[in-house]
Amino acid sequence: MTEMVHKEKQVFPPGPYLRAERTTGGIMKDVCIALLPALLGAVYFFGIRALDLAGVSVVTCVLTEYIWQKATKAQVTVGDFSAAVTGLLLAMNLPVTVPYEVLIAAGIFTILVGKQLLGGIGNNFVNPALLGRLFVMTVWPAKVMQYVLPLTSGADSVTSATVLGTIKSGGESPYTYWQMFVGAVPGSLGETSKLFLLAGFGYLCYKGVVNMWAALIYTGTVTLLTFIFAPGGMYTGDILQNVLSGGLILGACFMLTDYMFVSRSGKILYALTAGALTAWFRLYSSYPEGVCFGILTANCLTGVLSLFYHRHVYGVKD
Amino acid sequence: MFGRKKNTFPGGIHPTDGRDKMQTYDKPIQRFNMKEPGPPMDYEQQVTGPGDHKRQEILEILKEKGLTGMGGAGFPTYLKYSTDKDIDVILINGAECEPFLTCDYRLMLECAPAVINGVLILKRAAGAGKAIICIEDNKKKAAERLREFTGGISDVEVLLLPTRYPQGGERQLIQAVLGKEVPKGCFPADVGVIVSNVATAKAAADAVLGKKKPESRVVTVTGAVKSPGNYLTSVGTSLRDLLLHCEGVTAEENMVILGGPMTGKCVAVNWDGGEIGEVTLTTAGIVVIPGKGWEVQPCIRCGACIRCCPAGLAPVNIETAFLKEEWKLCEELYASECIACGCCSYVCPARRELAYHVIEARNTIRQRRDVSQ
Repeated sequence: MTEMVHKEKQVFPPGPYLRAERTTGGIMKDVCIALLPALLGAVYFFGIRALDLAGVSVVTCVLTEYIWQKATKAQVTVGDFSAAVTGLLLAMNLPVTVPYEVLIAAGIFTILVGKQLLGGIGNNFVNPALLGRLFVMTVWPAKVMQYVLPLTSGADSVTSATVLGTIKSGGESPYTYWQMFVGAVPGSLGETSKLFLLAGFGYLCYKGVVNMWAALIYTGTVTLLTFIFAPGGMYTGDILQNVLSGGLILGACFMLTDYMFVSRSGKILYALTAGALTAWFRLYSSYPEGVCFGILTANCLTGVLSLFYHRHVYGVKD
Repeated sequence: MFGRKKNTFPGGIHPTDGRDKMQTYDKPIQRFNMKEPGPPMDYEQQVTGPGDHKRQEILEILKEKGLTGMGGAGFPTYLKYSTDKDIDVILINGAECEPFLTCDYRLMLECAPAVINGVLILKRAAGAGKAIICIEDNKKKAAERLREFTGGISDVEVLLLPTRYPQGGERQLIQAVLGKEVPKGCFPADVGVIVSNVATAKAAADAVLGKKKPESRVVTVTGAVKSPGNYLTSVGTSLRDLLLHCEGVTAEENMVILGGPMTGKCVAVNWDGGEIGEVTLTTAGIVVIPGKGWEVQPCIRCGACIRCCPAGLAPVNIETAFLKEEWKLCEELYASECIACGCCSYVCPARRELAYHVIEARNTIRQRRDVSQ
């Protein structure tokens, strides 16, 4: 009897026979679209090389994934655009001065170690693009700490410290909040213009691809903690400066919201944890920026965090 | 985001927001393969109530006529109603949350007096003090029509619920309307509730007041067929005849689904006019879906299946355990509590066959439990 049923089910596709329109590819395409404004902003502020970098990064990531999956005879998933998103995010996380060979090495590392060796899409528990950034920061620290002034400042490729870097070394940031919001400050390709990032994020929220609350709670936690435990004394942190500087908005909108397999309440706990860690790294580590470390550490903690939230099963006493 | 709206249950989906039902909303019930009807009887035209039938008599008639639930599971009605538990309220399920189906809607609209009489009969059969007819708000017309007849009856309420799938699931309906859950391993009667479909109520009226056996039902034939509609047809009618009566299938690649597209069963792929079975008392619809299935991709851990599961399960975790044949883990993840609604597969962007695997896990657990006992 069981065998017959089994046979029957092999012939006919299993139900339900209606499926939602959203597919993995659709989600990833939406993320690509959402990143476009920030990419165009990067081209405006840092020149056409920004576009070249993004292109090289995407091609490297997609090719690496394709070759790896062909070589291991796995299901080829480059069609779902996830490698393209990773490539785009990786480029966004690096400064315009990064040499192509460094970027290509980072792309290969990102896809191989950050994604495929961890089991491919869905099984990689860390954000691959952030892992790629961490890789470059560790291996070629000098190459990625070279931030330049945006072209719009009139100067041509003048090395300059980021806002967070200046503050970390005890200086005063020379930029206005407006400049920081629009993106006319030194920094990684995708992190400088909050305006364009938020426009893209708005699109993702509108499409229902990401959970807005996780991003809000994360940003809020970082802001609150950096305000309270400010280096200059308790409750003296510069709120706007903390929100608008570094990769906070990029991280909150596009890295943190990367799917981490948790329920709504779990996401909140995860965002709180990532926020606290980011604030801690920003305030007390020797690096000026904490978003990359904060989110990566929270990524690694998701397994532990999942123990703290409980899901009610219908009809089962809690 | 926080808290729950009134009259809903957690999770669930909006399959296609009611647009799917457009095809047959306005198609009156036609007779197909049925004898000519006699003159309409009293109970079909006005609310007469169960008359002087006692509870025991009604149960006897239901048993004798062989009435079974017409919502899906096909459980014998007299067994359900001869419970020794105290029943406070019976819920009459007119939610019809399955996309595409409109047979219950047309039944409520066109046979309102008979449905109300059936509800009163079932209420007495259960010994309940109250009956609530539950209808989703994409079928407002049906609710208005029923209210025309329930105006003077204080213990029958017509309740509109927000449209949400799987509202028509017995346990979800109880949760949505009464705000309570049926404990694991228990039946609705254990919490003082009995749920029956509107079609069952109509059949009860036919049995008790019209002395008719349940030998026909309304079937919605829709989807990729040339002329979709609602048909009153006798049990045993060939599905082939019914489909041909609707002038056949319009999509070359098609799946013929018996029941609704969410919980129904595929009986044919690329149907070409061959024999595929017959109408039973639980056949609410024949839906022809264009296409041939989906390509399964790797899970991206978006968590959509977990968020939408009305039973509160984690389908993706159960699927992983099932594929590794870790039955103990399946049990710990409460695979046994799956209600087979199919929401998880519906929302999955990677098109994984979550529902199929979780249902298989549930069935395996039950089989193993039976064997070990």
